Amino acid sequence: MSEEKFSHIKKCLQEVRYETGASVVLIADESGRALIYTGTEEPHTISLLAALSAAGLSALQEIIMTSFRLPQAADEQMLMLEVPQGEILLLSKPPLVFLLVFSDKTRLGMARLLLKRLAKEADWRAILHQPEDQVQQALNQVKEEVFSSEDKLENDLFHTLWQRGE
Amino acid sequence: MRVIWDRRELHIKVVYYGPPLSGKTTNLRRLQENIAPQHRSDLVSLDTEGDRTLFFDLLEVNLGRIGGLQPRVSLYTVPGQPRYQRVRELVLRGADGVVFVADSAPHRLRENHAMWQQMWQQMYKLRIQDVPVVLQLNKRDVPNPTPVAQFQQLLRHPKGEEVPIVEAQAKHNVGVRETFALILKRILQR
Repeated sequence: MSEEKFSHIKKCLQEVRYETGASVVLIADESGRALIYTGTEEPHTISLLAALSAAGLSALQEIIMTSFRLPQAADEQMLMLEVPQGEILLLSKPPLVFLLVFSDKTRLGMARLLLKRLAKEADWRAILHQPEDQVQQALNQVKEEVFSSEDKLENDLFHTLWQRGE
Repeated sequence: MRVIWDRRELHIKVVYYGPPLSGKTTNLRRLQENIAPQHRSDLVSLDTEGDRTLFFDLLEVNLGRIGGLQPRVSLYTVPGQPRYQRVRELVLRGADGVVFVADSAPHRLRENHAMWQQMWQQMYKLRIQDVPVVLQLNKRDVPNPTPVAQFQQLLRHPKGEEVPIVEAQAKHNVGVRETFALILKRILQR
């Protein structure tokens, strides 16, 4: 995705978050990877939210297909989770999954409307498409450092990661 | 693999695949115990009461800043039970690398083979057949473990490529780190 398109989609997400007062607005792919997000949560939490949203919606698709004996899942599904601490809105529009976590300022009607609009308007092909050279460029940057010496990966990276020796 | 440029993040997905009770979740538990908390998430397990994985386990590891980027590795396990074939396929989607955790107990050989076959079928279906695969021979401490050579004969790469092997006892924290390091190395080397 070009930087321009990315910025545009990111801006759309930020607008939805601003309008709804949500604490997180996130777009993930069906494999559970966070693609774009805006919000206050830690990156680890975002990754978990993305993975669990994709999994939860896949399970939901199975429920719908089984209940209505459908050969394939419906194009779009929305799921509202309500717990004492707040609400979460999940929207599946294959191959993307949208998630909005409410704050105490968020109103359901507005959240529903804006999330649906976002799903409708978002150029998902642009979101999903990542030119191979972009990935390769990133990978090369990492490779250059990790494989700069024979034992770099083992000595430096794992030494940092591991909190205690075996 | 996906790059989120505005956050300078490189997202890598690794799936631990294998027959039921072969030690996939144990691998992730050991990683969680050993990796410094600031570099990992908590282990999220969607399991049943009997400690069998129902949907998946997920552990995220943050490798820190490398080459100006923040590589983040999401480690998933699949449920091993036969009836969860579709869930396995779902979890496998988008994987950048796969660790096949085989059970070294001699009576589990057939199950290892069946699951290995299914993994490759699913990888071809999902068009991820070229991602790196590491074979972990777990539970090497069982009596009369299946010899490595027998595994090499039975669990072959469909294109005849060499599959790197790590002998492990995940329960005792042996071979877990080596497996993780090896799959990561293979992914980054591509």
